[in-house]
Amino acid sequence: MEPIIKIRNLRKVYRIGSERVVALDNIDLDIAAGEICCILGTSGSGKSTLLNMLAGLERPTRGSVEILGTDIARASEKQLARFRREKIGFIFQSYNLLGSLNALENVALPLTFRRVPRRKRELAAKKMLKAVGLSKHIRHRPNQMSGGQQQRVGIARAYVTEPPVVFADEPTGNLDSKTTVEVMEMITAIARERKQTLIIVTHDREIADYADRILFLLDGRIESDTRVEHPQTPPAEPA
Amino acid sequence: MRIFDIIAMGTRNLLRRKMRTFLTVIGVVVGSAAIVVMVSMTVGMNISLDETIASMGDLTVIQINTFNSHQNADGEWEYDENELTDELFQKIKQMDGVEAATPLLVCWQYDFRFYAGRRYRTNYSNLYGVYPEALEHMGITLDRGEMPDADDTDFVIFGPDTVYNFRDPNKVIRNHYKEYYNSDGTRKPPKVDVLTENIYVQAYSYQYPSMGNGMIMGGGSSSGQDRNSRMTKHYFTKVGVTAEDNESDYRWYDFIHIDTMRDMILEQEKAAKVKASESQAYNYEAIFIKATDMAAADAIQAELKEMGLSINSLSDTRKAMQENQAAIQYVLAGIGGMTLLVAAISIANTMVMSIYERTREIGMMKAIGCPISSIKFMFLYEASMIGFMGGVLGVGLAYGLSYAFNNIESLASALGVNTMGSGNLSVIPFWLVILAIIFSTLIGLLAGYIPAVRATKISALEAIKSDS
Ligand SMILES: Nc1ncnc2c1ncn2[C@@H]1O[C@H](COP(=O)(O)OP(=O)(O)OP(=O)(O)O)[C@@H](O)[C@H]1O
Ligand SMILES: [Mg+2]
Repeated sequence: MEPIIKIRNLRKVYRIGSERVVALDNIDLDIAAGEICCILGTSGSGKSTLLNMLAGLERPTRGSVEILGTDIARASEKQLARFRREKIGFIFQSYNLLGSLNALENVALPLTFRRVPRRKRELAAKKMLKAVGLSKHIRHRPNQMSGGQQQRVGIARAYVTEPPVVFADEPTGNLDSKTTVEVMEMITAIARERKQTLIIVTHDREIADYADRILFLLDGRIESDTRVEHPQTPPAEPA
Repeated sequence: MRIFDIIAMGTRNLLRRKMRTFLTVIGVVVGSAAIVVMVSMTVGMNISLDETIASMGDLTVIQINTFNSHQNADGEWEYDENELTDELFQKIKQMDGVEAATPLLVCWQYDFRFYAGRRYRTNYSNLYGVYPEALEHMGITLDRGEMPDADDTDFVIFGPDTVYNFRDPNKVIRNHYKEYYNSDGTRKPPKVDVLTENIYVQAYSYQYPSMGNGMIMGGGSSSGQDRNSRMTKHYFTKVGVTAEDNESDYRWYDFIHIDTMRDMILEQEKAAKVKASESQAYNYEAIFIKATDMAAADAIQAELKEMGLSINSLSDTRKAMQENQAAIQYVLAGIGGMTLLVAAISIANTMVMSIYERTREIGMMKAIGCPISSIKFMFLYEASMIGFMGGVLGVGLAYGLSYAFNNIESLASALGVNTMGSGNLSVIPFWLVILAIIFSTLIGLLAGYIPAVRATKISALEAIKSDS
C-alpha cells in the first residue's frame, strides 16, 4: 500500500550564532494510512521538530516531506495554510483554545476557516463534542473548564474536519495520569474508528502502548522502529 | 473564512478587552469631534461671510469704472484711471461666462430734455445710455410701466425721483414749497404721468455755434436755440419707472437705449462741428458685466486684471475677508489634525499590544489552517471598527459642542470670529458627518495596517512553544 506520508533524507539544522544544532539528521520514513504512530525520545531528541516538519509548520533544511502526494517542504505559505486547513488536524500540548469562544465555537473553528456555514458547522461540532463526552459543556468557555475538558475540546477540534492525518505534540503533557488515560483512549479510539492516521509525539513510554508503531528518536535519528501487532485493548491503568 | 465570521470574531476580540477598546475609541472620539468642530466652524464662518457679502450685493456682477479707488497693501488709497473704449466693451462681450454686459454712456456736454405732451418738460436728466439686456442685472426693478426687452430700442426708464422733474417752463412759480408739497408736508404727485403722456427726448446744448459771438447777437436761423429745436425728437414706446424702494443709486437716473443717446450726441456734435477725436459719443463712465456664476466672475476678473484694468469687486472683498479667516481656520485644522494623529497612534498602539497578547492564538489559528488573508482582514476590521465607533461618537460629541458654541454668546467674540449674518459659529453640514465617519474609519484602517501585516507574519510555531 502506498504510504500516506513519505519522508526522504530529511534534515533540519538550527543555527544559533556560529553554533549549529542538527535537530534531525537524514530521516527516511514511510507512514501508512490509518497507522497510529508514536514518536518517543528524550528531551531534545528532535521529536517536535519532526512533527513540525510533517505538519508543514517549519521548513526542512534539506529533504522532502510528501503527504498525500504533495511535497509540503516546497509549498508556498498560502498552499501550506490550505494544506493544513484541508488535510490535517492538530492537537496541542497546551490546548490552545480561543478564550473568547465557547467550546462549540472552538470546535467549529476549523470549519469556520473552511467557510462552512454556521448551522452546518455547529451541527458537526456538536456531534464531535458529544463524541468526546462534552455535550453538557457546549457553551462553556475554556476558562470554565478543567485541563482534561479543554484537551477534549482540542481533540474534538482536531477531528471535526475529519482530516486524513492528525498530529499531536505531547497531548497529555499538561494532564495528570488519570486524565492522560482518558484523553489517550479518546484520541486513539476516534482515529481507529475513522481509520485516520495519527502521529503522537511524547516522551512518556506508557503512551506508546496505544500505538501501532513506535519510533524512537535519539539525537535526530530514528534509533528504532517497532510495530505493535493488534493492540486490541490498551493495558489497564493501575488504580 | 466568511466575512461575517471574521467580523463576528473581530467584534468579540474588541469586546474581550472592553476597557482598552473603550479608551482607544475615546481617543478617536476626541480626535474626530475636534476635526468636525473645527471644520464646522470654518463652514459656519464661510456661511456668515457669504451672507455678509451677499448683503453687500451680487457676487456675479463686475463693474469697471473709469475712476477706481482702492486700498493698496499698505492700506493707502490709490486712484487708477481705466480707459473704457468701445473696443474694450466688445472684447468683454465676447468673453466666456458673460451673461450680459453694457457700457454706461454718459454725456457732460449736452443736456437731455424729456418732453411730456406740449406743456411739460424736464430741464436736465442724469441720463445713462445702456443696452437693455443688462438692466435687470443692474438691480433695476420697475414700480410701474414695462421693462424693455433685449431688442427694444425705444424705451425710457425714469427714476422714482426724476419723474418730479417735469415742469411747466412757462408757469411762474411764487411759492416753490406750495407748488410741490401738500400742507401736511407730503409730496404732491408728479405733474405728469409719464406712462400716459406722449414722451420724447431731445438733446440740448448751451453752447452756441463755434463760428463766433457775432452770430449769437445777430440772432436768426443759425442761433443755438434754433439749432436745439431742430434736433431729432426721439419718441418712446416703452416707459417705466423704477421702484421707489430701490436702494440703488440709480433712483436719480434715467435710462435710454445707448444707440439713441449716441445718435443725439453725434447730432449735436455734427452741428457744432466737433472733431471726431473729441467726440463724447463713446464716453463710457463704466462697463457693467453680469457673469453666469461666481466662478465665471472670478475668471472674467482675472482676465480683466490681466488686461491692465483696475477693478474692485465683491469677490475681491470676499477673498480678502476669507484670507483673514483662513489664518484662524488653519490653526483650527491644525488642532483637529493633531488630535486625530494622536488617536491614530493610539489605535496602532492598541493593535500592536493586541498582537503581542494574541501571538499564541494567531499561531494556533495558522497551525490549524486559518487563511492568512483572514487574519489580516480581522485585524484591519478591528482597527477600523475602533475608528468607526470613534467617528460616530465623535460626531455626536461634535453636535453637542457645536450647539454649545452657537449658544454661548461670548465665545464667538472671544475667538474673534466674524459672526455677522446667521450668527452661527459652527455649522455641521451632512457631508461633514459622513466624511468624518469615513475619515475616522480610514484612520483606523491605516493605523491598523502595519499591525495587521505583522499579525500575518506570526509563525504557526508560536502555538507549539511550551511557554504560555
Ligand atoms: N527554534 C529553534 N532554534 C534553535 N534550536 C532549536 C529550535 N527548535 C529546536 N531546537 C533544537 O533542536 C533540538 C530538537 O528539539 P525538539 O524541540 O525537536 O526536541 P524535543 O524532542 O521535542 O524535546 P522535548 O521533549 O523537550 O520537547 C534541540 O536540541 C533544540 O535545542
Ligand atoms: Mg518537544
